[in-house]
Amino acid sequence: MIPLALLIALLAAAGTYQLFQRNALRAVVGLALLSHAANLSLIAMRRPIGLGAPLVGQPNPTDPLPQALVLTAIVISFGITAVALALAARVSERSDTTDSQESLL
Amino acid sequence: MLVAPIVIPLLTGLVLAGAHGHHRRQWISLAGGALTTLAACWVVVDALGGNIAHVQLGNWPAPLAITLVSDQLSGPFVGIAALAAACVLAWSAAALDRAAAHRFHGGYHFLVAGVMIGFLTGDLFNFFVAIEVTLIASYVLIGTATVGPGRVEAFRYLVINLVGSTLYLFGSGAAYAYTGTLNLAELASRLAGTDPAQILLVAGPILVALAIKSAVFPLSLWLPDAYPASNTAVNALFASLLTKLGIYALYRIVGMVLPVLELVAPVLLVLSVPTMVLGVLGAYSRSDVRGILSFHIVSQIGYMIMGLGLISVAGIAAGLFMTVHNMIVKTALLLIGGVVEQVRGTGELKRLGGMVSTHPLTALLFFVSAMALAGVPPLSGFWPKFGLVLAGLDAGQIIVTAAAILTALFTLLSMAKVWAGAFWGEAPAGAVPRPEPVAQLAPIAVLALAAALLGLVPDPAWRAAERAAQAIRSPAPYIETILAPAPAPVLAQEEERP
Repeated sequence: MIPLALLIALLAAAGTYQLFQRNALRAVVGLALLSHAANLSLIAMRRPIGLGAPLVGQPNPTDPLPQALVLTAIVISFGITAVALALAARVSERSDTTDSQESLL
Repeated sequence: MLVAPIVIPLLTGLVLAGAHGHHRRQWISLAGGALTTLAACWVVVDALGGNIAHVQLGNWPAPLAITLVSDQLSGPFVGIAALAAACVLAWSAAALDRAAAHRFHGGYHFLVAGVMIGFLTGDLFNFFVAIEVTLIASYVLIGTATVGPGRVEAFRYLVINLVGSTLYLFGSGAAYAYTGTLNLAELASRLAGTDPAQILLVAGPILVALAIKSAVFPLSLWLPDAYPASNTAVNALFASLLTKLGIYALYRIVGMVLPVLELVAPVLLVLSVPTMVLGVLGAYSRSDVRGILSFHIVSQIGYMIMGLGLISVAGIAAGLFMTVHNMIVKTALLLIGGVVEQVRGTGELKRLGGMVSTHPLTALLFFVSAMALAGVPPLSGFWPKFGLVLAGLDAGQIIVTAAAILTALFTLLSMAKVWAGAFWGEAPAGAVPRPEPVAQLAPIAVLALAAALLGLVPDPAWRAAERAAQAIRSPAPYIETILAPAPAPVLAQEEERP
């Protein structure tokens, strides 16, 4: 569990750092990293903490619900990253660069 | 039937994606909007009768299926949201040009579907899905309706709301780990009687996420710049639906499901003061019609969280009445802002004036809606403010109550600023105003009439708000109705496992 927790912390920290850069594309990358951190934390919340397939008769089954949740969250974050990239492209259209003069946050 | 207000807009959005031709698309969109409103009316009539209707999707037993519920809290929200959204749709059909309408209609229906999922869902994770469906639609709408420098604001809006959604996801994961369920009714029954300080670990991220969604100070700074940068239809739609979905979730999740209201209430009360006061001062500092109105959204959010923060049934009822009143009046005012921009070509107060004589109908509708917003009796805004002040004094919250009264006065002042700038005085020389657009004013008149009716006959709304507040404070009937069939055996097996 501890490596997983460290990985979540690392992803969240990297995502937050990218968000505070002045660059729209970097902000999108930051958002993607943050959502990965949230997805991993969902996986970490599984009860029981098994590693086997969640099927009847399998030894040591894992909890299928967080996996279903993560699948949903991944699809959503995929769609949102696409929309965010489109918007970031429109922001940069104005100035020919994704480095906006004003800070984005 | 409970799925109808969700499925109809989704299908309409999908059909629109494949439909060609301006007129055909317009009619499909309007028909879809009308059907959604009818379905929502059915839901609200059923819910106001005291019936807790629920559907377990996929026919699984209660805590396993995705639950949709309409009770005395969500029913009215579904109805008023559908009314406000339908008026925005009717206005947009009359006002938007071809290109803008093309971009607006598809996103509009997906946004309505997302909001309806949010109001009707009985599941913590499904509410996250609702937020995301709503937000994706809103990003498309705000991204395509905003031009020029406003795009940076649109992007900022996206980033801040996405951070909020991610926090919400962290919180719902923690809720699952702590309780083993995501069903709101089961969460409420399992958490009842637990130490609120422990639940704060779960509630903390969810609370911050919902505060971002509802634009509670200091997480409100993204809203006043992003909203007016888009066009009027998008601005009015967001004002009536998006922040109110956050407010609904605060009442439902923080007020009813997680037993943390006593612990969180002081925070809500403390935050409500700057939300109200700074919002209204910000509004007064703006110089364009929609900018002033958009800042007011934040200020009014302060009243809504003040109602929740007062904990008492009277306070919560007043807060709910405030929310419903705001969804109607704010939509009307923003649409009038759009009419002003259409007939005069600008929303800047300095370049407006004299609309009382050139556009008397618009002026009348603005007057009624603005007085309702400011809370002048006998219009709709008076009663919830009166209720909040009474409940605030009852709870001994003198400072918060004083801030609420002060904010009401400043609201009146900033509405007077718009009135003096746009409607009184002389029309600026050289302006060639267009005639009054009656088709655009019709949906606004419906909203203004609703505001006047709510003010003149407040009794049914008061009683509905009080029943909803009682449902929040004593969730037992909600829990019992939804979990009525005994909990599924699968959960029992899980607990037996070593």
